[in-house]
Amino acid sequence: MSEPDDPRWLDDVAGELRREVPVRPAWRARLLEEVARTPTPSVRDDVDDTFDDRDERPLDAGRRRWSITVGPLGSLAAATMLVALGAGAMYVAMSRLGANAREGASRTAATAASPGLVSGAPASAEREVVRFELSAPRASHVALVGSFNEWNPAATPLSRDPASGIWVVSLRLLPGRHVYAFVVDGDVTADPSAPRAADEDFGSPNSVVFVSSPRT
Amino acid sequence: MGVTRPDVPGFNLATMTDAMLVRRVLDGDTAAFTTLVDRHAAACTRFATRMLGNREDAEDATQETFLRAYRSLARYEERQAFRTWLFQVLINRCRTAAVRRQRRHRMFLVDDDAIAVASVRPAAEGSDLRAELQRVIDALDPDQREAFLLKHVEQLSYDEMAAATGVGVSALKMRVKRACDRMQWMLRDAEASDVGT
Amino acid sequence: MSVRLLALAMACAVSVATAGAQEIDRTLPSKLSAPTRATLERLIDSARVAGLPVDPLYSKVREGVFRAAEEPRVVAAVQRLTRDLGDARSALGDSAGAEEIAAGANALRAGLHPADLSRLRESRGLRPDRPLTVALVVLADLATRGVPPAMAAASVNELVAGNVSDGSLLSFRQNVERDLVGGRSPASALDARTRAMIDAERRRP
Repeated sequence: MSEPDDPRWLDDVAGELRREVPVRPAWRARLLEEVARTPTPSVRDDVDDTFDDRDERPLDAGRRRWSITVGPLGSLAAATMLVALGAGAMYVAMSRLGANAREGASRTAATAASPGLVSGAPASAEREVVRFELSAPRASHVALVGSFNEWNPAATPLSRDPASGIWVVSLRLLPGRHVYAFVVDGDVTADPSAPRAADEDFGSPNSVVFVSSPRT
Repeated sequence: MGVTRPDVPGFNLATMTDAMLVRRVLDGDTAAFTTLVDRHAAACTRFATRMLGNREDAEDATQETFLRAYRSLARYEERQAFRTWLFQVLINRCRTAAVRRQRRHRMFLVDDDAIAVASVRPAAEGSDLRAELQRVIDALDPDQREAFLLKHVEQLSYDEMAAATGVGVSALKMRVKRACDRMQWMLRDAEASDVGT
Repeated sequence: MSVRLLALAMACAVSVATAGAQEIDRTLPSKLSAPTRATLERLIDSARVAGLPVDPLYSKVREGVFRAAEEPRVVAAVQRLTRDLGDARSALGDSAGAEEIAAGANALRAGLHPADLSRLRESRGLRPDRPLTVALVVLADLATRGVPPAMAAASVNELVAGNVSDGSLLSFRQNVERDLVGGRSPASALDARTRAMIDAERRRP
């Protein structure tokens, strides 16, 4: 790195500042969830709050993502299901964020219908966002593997909330039955609170998540 | 790359220009917006983080930027680079965030007359260059910081910067120059204070 | 601190991980040897010709590769799954969907009999388009946790016949699991929870 009197100092400083700031997968997932909840923009829209600086939305609104709640999330209009808290150091909660305000507390979220999320998939298959959570405060790396990502441990890492030690990722899954597991610092482990798949062909059991079709 | 696999052979969102992607979104293909996010989120996050000095505020500002951009996508005009248009939104979000934060923490903005006060806070033991640079950046006047980051980090042209900030080119050049002078002074000062360490 | 002193410890490689789901990749991983791939292709092709869902088979292969299983083991797993899929399809009928068949195969693997699956189909009664996938997932899970399959089948049958929703079925499973962990006997847990659910269903307006 060059001295400040050296004309190259600016290049060095700029180069350093240009270093990439990582985009957190959880941030990205949350954004895409929000986008999915937003009506598709069209040329007929009159909305123009692009540059409206009178925005009163509190900055704290986005930070609730780390809270695990049971039951409806009030104004967020999402149904959340907290799967049973198992004993021991590790518990897993799996919740689904539905976008539909009709969801009530009486319906457990695992099959709560929500408006289909349009994706690159064929028009008739509408994906739903499913949130996977794992409490593993001492882990350094957690990933999700399953039938939806070809059992590729590099495809879906979870992100950890430093405060709570909870690892999270949200995925858009097609309706139906999916088999999965977590990889915690290299060890494959089923989701202790999710239904189990019965086959242990390769040594340890997997978990099952069922994504309901919006039409159900 | 976090792009949903295209389901139609020969069709690849990754090869489309930003303008084409915008058109696709307006036609109803929201996967195209995901591609836009993946292209621009890193730069937006970087700018917001350097501008606001902390990750959380930056993420909020960037999130809000993309959502507003999405809602108002029909207003994007192709003669302007999408990135410039997006940065226009981002810059506004960052300015709003900074004002809010100022209210929250009652921070005092640095002005040129108080340049003696504006020197870099003493480096903590074992801090690295990145943290020090962020301190130097934080100590800049926000207008200067904004201009410096856009010019030298995000590498927009002065015309693009003018479009994105609403500030004239000559004023922007002055801000960039002042920012450079200040940073040079602060870094030299920090360097000097290390003599004998 | 001098700007010269920077040992630019490079940040860990930055990656924007995919958070989007993908559809099943219907190719076999090149990691497998050519003979194994050929065998698997034949197996999967037969399954396809027989009208069985092949996605679970491809997924099983990928799981095996991920787990670094030996190739004969992967082949054996695919063979077994193919058999189970076929049995499930027979038990559930030709109108069964791919998801139901896959869930049914897993239930059979857990120890249920094809007759249990057929009975479940009958319990569905006048709602033939109501998929049994979740009921089968719950059955497989309970059996895996030590509930005698026939007992689990009887309970789930009753719930399906009572038109309990999929969400309630999953709650039921969760509650039974909790009871089992708490030391309750399977019979007692099933009985109590089934009663509770049926009662709740009756009270529903």
